[in-house]
Amino acid sequence: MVKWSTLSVEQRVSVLEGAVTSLGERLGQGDDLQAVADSSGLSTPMVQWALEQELHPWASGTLFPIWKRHIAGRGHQGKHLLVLAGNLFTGCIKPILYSLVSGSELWVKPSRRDLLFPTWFCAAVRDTSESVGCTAPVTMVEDGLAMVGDVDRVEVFGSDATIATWKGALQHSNPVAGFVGHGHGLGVALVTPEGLENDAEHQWPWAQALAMDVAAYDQRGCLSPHAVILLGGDNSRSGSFGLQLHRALTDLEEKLPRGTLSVEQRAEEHQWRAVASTVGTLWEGEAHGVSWEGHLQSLRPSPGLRNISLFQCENMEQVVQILAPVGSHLRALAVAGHCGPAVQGAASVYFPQCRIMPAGAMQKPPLYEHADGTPAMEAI
Amino acid sequence: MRPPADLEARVLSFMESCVLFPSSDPGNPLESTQHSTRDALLLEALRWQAEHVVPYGKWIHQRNGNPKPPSIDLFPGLPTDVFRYALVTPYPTEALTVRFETSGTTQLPRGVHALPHTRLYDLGARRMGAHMLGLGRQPNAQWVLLLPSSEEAPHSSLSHMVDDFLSQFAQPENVHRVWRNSQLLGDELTTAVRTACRKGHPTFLLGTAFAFVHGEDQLGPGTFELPQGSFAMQTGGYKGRSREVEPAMLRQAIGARYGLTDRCVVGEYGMTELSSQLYESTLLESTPLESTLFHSIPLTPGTQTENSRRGYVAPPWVRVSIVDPATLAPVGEGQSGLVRIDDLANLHSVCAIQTSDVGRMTDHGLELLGRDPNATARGCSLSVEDVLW
Repeated sequence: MVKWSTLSVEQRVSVLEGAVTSLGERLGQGDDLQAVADSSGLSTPMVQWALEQELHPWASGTLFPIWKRHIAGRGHQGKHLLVLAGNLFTGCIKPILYSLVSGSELWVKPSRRDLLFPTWFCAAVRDTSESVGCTAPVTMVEDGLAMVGDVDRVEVFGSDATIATWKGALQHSNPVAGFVGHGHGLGVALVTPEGLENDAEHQWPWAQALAMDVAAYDQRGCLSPHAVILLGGDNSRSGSFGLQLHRALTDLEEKLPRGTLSVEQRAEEHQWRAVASTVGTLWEGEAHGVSWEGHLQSLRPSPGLRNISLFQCENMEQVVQILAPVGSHLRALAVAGHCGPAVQGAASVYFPQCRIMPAGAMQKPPLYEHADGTPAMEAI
Repeated sequence: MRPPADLEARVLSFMESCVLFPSSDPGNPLESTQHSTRDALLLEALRWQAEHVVPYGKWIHQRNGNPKPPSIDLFPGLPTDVFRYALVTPYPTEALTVRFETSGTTQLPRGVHALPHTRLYDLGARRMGAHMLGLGRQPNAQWVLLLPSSEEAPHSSLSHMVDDFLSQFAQPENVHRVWRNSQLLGDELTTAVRTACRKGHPTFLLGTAFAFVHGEDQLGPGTFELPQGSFAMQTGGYKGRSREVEPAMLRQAIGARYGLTDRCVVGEYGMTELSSQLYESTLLESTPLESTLFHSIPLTPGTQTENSRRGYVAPPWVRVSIVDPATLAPVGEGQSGLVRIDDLANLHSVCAIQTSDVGRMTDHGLELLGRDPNATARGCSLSVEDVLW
């Protein structure tokens, strides 16, 4: 058996693409697909959609250019520890691929709440690498903290508290190792006056795009929008946009049904909807809710699960003021309509860590980077 | 807009005259009669509230479109969060002299339960306190309070209730406040409990769950042996104000600390949006000696384990039901779901309250259930509370 780090990058890419293909084929079968759906809480069609978006593209021709442009020559090779914490089930794909394509050995500590997909992905990598006579480059571990002293880099997904715990452990026992933390967050969408212009027919494509952002992963992702801010516009146009969004989400309910909700999530949904119906207008579907709540005093994010609040702001100053309490957690701002200098300027000054994307592309940030530090405006 | 001419008087009369039982017994004809009376009053109240409490009217319209459903279950419970964003009242603000607020160091608006007076609230609290905790039976009892006074927390319904207990049932010289300026005073707690032990008088420890946890964190290894007839009443959640402790663990810790049997550590279930409280009934099922100290009510026969006996008991003017989390319709007997509470004492706001608590009804009352351990991962999206608490 040869060591993983001695393989050429082309060989590593080939093994990893083989693993992706193998896992993709496994998940094409009913039982395993259903198992991922059960494990993740998403519906089977939503799991299929997520695999099409996040797994299948890596089966051929995508990884090598990424390595060449963003990873080669950056000295990432070594022993890496990846700590997962109940992320979206596809959230482990890029970190695993990026670590391994760099030639690193990888230890993965999965979340006990979402073991299945990372376990299967790592098994696919192991089987494929061994089939070409290479030692397995990835190992699942239960106690990642015990590994901290032996690694060159730790990448942690989780809450702020989880990240602080791991960072503290690393600083204590291995201060020279690299550390990347990916905290929880949320997204917000902005409909600029161009997105609200004219009639419902004109608003429909923007509403459809935003509906996809809302439906993706049932809003469980840190890029998912929890509020839509309508910039300018009058009550009539804003209300009309809410109705269009409701219709677009209704269409998606059939194509990409919502997953299962826990009792607690149902409770959160009732609480949010009751407030929406008493302070504004609520459009409810079988598995979604859209509220129109007029002008805001303070942000009232939705509980997710395909529930979304629409508010109105007169200008970007108001938007900045309203978003200030969640500013440090803001990961993504989707823009429906023209993203002019006022929007870009305000975002870069007040929310520099926030990625700006066109509506409909919130789950596709410009680039996943090891340090999660690509310029926020790259997609615009 | 006032309620129909004599509705408040009839509710008051019912709350004053109804018989409180140690636990629910569907075969008891008196209890059945009381339930019928309660339900008739509730239906009347809900119809009036649907018409005059604007946020509730909107919620009914949203849920089923029929502003005057024919039965209580068809009136939806109003989710508690609405109290954060709308004034849930039929009255103009100038008529509202009482303002209870939810707690929390949060950027979310506080929930406000505004009332024209506390007559119904006080009557219900006193009757349940006397019945479930035996208040008023032991005039020399020492009161040790691990919660703020009404003066310190003027908008806390819990502080209001306990201060009203003091005015009704306690001698001022027997009251020891060990929570001030948002802090537990560990030394004063120790002194108060030691004094109570020395005097040999029954001692009532009343406080929030997180204050008891602060007590555990401050008091070190020492323990106490409170005299017979003592009890601890703990209530409420944590909301980040202390480390969180499982209810059974907290009960065990309080019992061990103060020398109380498991039965003498009682949970109270209340919330700002309600005017009535539920209590665990374990004091009513105490040993013969304890029972004579508290009540003359005989023991419930049987020797079940402590945990299986525990349940929150509601007063006769409160209807507790478990509803399906998806439809909000009542679930079958023994099934779990979301807790809905219809509280007649909420006549001046909305009687039907939909909580976010998960529970089920047992022979011993309402059992509150914790978070589902099999729930799927939430993903990396922040929850509203993560962001704004």
